[in-house]
Amino acid sequence: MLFDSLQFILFYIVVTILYFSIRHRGRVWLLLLASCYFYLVFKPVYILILLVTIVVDYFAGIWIANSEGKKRKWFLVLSLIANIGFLAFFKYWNFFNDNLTHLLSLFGMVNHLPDYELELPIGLSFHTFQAMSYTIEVYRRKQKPEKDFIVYSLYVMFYPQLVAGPIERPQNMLHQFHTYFKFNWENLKSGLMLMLWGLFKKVVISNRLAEMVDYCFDNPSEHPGLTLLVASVFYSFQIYCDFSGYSDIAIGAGRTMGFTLMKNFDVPYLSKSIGEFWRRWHISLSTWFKDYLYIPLGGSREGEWKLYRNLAIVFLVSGLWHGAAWTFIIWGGLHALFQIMARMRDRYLPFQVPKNDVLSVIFTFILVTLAWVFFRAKGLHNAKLILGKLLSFDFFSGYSMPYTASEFMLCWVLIAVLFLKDIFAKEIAVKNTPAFFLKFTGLAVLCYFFGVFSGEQFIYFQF
Amino acid sequence: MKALRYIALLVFGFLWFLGCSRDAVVWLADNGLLEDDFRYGDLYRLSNLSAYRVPVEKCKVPYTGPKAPVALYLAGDSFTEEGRVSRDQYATDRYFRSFVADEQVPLELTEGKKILVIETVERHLRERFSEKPWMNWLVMPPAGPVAKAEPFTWTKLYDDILEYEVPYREEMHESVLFSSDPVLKIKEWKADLNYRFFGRTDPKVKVLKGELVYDLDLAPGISSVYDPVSDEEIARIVKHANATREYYRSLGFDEVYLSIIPNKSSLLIREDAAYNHLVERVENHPELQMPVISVWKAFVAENYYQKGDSHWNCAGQKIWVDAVNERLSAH
Repeated sequence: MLFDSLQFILFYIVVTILYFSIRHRGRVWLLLLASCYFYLVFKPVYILILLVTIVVDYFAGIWIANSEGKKRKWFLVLSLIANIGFLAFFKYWNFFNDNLTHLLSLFGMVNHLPDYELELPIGLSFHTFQAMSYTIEVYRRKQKPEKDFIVYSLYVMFYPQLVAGPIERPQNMLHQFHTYFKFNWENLKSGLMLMLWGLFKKVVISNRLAEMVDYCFDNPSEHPGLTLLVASVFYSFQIYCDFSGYSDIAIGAGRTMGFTLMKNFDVPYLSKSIGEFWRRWHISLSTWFKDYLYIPLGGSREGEWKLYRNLAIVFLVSGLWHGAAWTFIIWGGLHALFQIMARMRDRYLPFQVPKNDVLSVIFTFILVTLAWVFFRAKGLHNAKLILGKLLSFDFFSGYSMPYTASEFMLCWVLIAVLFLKDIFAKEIAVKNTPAFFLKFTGLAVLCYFFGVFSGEQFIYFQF
Repeated sequence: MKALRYIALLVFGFLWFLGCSRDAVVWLADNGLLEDDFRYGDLYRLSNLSAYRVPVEKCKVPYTGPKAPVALYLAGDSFTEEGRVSRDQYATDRYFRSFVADEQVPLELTEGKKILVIETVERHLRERFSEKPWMNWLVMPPAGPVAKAEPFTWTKLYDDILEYEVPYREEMHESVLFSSDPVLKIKEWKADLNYRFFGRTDPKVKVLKGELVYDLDLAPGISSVYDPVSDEEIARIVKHANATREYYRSLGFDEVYLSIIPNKSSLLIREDAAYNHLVERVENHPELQMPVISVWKAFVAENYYQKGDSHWNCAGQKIWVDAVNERLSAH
């Protein structure tokens, strides 16, 4: 069920009204059943995977808490194997198998492992990571095990953030499912406004920019450098609006019912370095990697070279988390490389590099955009082709686009609006003033009249 | 406040239910509780461009002449569907029709003379004849044995689980919520604004020389009027058409006719060098043995299409029905 569909709007209204019409225990059941329905709409059979991991993690959590010594570790390992096992099989089996086939063929050998026609269960990487954070936190004794199976199931399946995050932590979510939230107008207004703004980013900006991006990235060899440059810049904003739009709708939907989900984006394209970019982009994932991979690896505590190693591992794994393809691994690798180079510059250059905030923001944006080329391109060959054309600076050999000039201008205006909103109005005031209702109605009208309702999935659903 | 909440719950719950139940929507439409969202045409329904909002002509003029003692079997597409051409418009009382793209259609033949007409719109002709002869109808022996229900197997259950989908069609919500005239007005504002300022229409339609047509006719692909069709492919289509004729004649039909209805778009761009001239090349192919019921020349002479619809108007439909009735009377 897509957040920008009529189906979701009606589903959301019915579930929210019902939520505020029943007592607390009923609410937990309602949200769980609604979340199951929400997931079943995508591909019903994959709910079985969720069911298995929920059961394993639920009991693993209790067993970890009730045992000591090596046993604790074994129960954690059991939980991690179940979670990573599904992820590895559905997401990475064919990728590793293909690479193994290629590798063996270099030595004249044949790979006999079978290939499976697997459709990736929607949101698998998201709910797997969320489930893993629960058992890890219980193991670390930072979270008590959840005894209520329904509440635990809801922690994994809560529909607003089930398929594309934010990837929540048990400390933030579980106690909220035990809380009875009274209906609150302020929450309703600010939640709906946030949902509307997310919808605006998705249907007005992202879906519109997607047309240029698809036009170029589907056949890069047919397009000149300038066209590809514009498409690459547009992709940076498309993916931002798509993903942060989804997060806004998720956070807003939760807020209207009283839940507080974690912030996932904080104006990432105003970052002055790649390190800062990762503190502002997909915050729930970057903090997950920080807490469960980077710090356990030693973080920055064990010397400079180990820090570089840890950064490389974290970002390569992050690339792989996004997709089972070399393009994603290179994308992650580039982000690691950029950060390592920045640290080496600061540490080893004998002079201080003069810094200018505006130039730093622009330079960071350029690096991020170049890396996105790998993220979006269909295969390594196309990525190299696009980067070759971009880096040869051949921007005067023609230009084409799937838009009229006026729509092209609108795209830039929308990008400017996006920046202005993010800089000057991070939170829209929700007092009962005519200005609020005017803004709300205006935004809804703009979504309808300028929205491109293409029925396309959100980009991050594929992960 | 509480009452308001429950009313809202009832209303939105019912609306949600309608998106999941096709039967309920059909019942509402059959009982006049829902407006027909095709009333201004299929292309208008997609585009909502105000310039193309013209009610679709209803033109079921019954045939009043003497009925021919011939059974008409029609494998047709949307041009000849029941809502558009009714059985009493034909010069026969014995009439059977199925959708031309349906496969494995079981069929019992009646006694006496019978003809088969295969009617297809130009854009789908290649799909139906390029690869193989059209043999979608299975002629059954009279009162043949009733097929037994498939026995239960675990594999079947597994497949059913894998393929299960939650019933829902956004189209039904669209019909229920957004097909009344006042709402269409708002949709028109959006459509006109986007077309005027950005040249943007619904991706499934295009404005071609001032007329609304399907994008499928123009976009690259096998359905496109611009897609080059080699002489070899034309020869293959003709060969398959002939084989179709032979097959159904051998099963008992007295004659098998092919009728290709031109795309609305083809008639607009027939002078363009890039047009593939599919209809003319098939109909005039020297090796085509299958008799054709052609409307090409008549449709070239005059516009017989509806403003907001991809189908013919009453006059265009009459030309085709008359041509079919002429064949029926001739047998």
